[in-house]
Amino acid sequence: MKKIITCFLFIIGSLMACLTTDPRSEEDRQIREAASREIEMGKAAVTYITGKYGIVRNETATSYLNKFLQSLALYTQRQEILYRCGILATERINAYALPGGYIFITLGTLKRIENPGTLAGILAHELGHLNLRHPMNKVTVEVNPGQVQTLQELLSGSRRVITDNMDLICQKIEKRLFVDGYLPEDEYDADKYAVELLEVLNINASDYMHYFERLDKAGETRLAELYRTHPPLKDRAEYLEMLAGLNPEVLYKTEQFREFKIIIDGINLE
Amino acid sequence: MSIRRSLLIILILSVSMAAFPETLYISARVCPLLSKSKPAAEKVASLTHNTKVIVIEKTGKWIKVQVPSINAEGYVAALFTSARPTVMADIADYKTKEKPAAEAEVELPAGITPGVDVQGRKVISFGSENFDAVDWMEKFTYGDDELLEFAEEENIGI
Repeated sequence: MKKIITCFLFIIGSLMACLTTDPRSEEDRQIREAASREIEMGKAAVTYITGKYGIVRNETATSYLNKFLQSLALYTQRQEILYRCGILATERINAYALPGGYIFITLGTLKRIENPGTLAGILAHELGHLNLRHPMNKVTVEVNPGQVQTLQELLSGSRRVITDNMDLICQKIEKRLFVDGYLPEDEYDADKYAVELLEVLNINASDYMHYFERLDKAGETRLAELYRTHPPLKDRAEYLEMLAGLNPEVLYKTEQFREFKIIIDGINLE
Repeated sequence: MSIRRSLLIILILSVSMAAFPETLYISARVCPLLSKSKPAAEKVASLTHNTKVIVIEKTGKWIKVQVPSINAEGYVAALFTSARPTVMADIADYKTKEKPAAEAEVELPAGITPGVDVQGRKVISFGSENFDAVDWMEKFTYGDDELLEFAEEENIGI
């Protein structure tokens, strides 16, 4: 009888402990804390990269781009961060996903986009990098001699370590995005994510696929960075064709898209 | 005897599994509940972040679910779900606040760590960083209703 009472009290005690500590809210607190550190890394990288390459300050175009991006981002898994997009003032052709939900798309890329379907594909690809945590898992820094850590690993450590290494973190993010690129499989995974997202949103991925084919045929010198940091465009187009479902809805050009394109095409950096 | 006991345990476990169907949570900020497993299907309801759904059937990229909170059934994209409740950022927290006067920025506010926080870096760094770029980008933060309206105009949502 004594044993039964002891057991009963133990169970009640355990239940009370569970109710008072609420493991879910503690986990949420940790996720929010990690997100805030990731966002600070992203902000620092934004200041560093825009300080080097410049940012286009056109209100209408940036507003359209952000509404487009954030509309797609409503449906992504990572909602502990918000997503923002800036137009990088360079004619090179590329787009970049930074920690904390910050995305850059170059003016050169936007000038070559002919339809909203391509814009949706490019932005969904960058959302793929962020939701698959590529910036956090593929950028590494050597915080102490011989101690190489990913940005993700840094999030759970001391905030001071991040503070002291912020300049190095920014340099490594820039090197990964602008020079080395991710592994080809990471790029294909981001493309797969993009196609799946577009498909469930009833957006045909064919425009995105044709964009690669068109760029590949044009063979411009401004593609050098894209070729260096990504798998060959022809291979990506073939991969997308394999993934794409029988989704019939091709996005048509709206008035807002046309207005956006007129503004973009009219921006001259020289 | 031991085989019979094992079979009995397996049977009990199977019945228990069937009695507790799989529960998922909506991970997207918004999630349409559709009448069929295709994006062009009729929308039954619009589910919000962390809505609890009970799995009825999984068919590739779509899941047939029952939604206890609204007592409805339909299909959701598997991409929009998660096995556990997830954390969502509050847009109001991230909207650009009114910028302090230039003089006020010299003194770091409580809680701002020089170096790690952008506002701190702005004060101590003399590099080529473009600190206004963060404010510029964060200015373009929109609420769900505004985005859903935009998505409908541009046909990029369901």
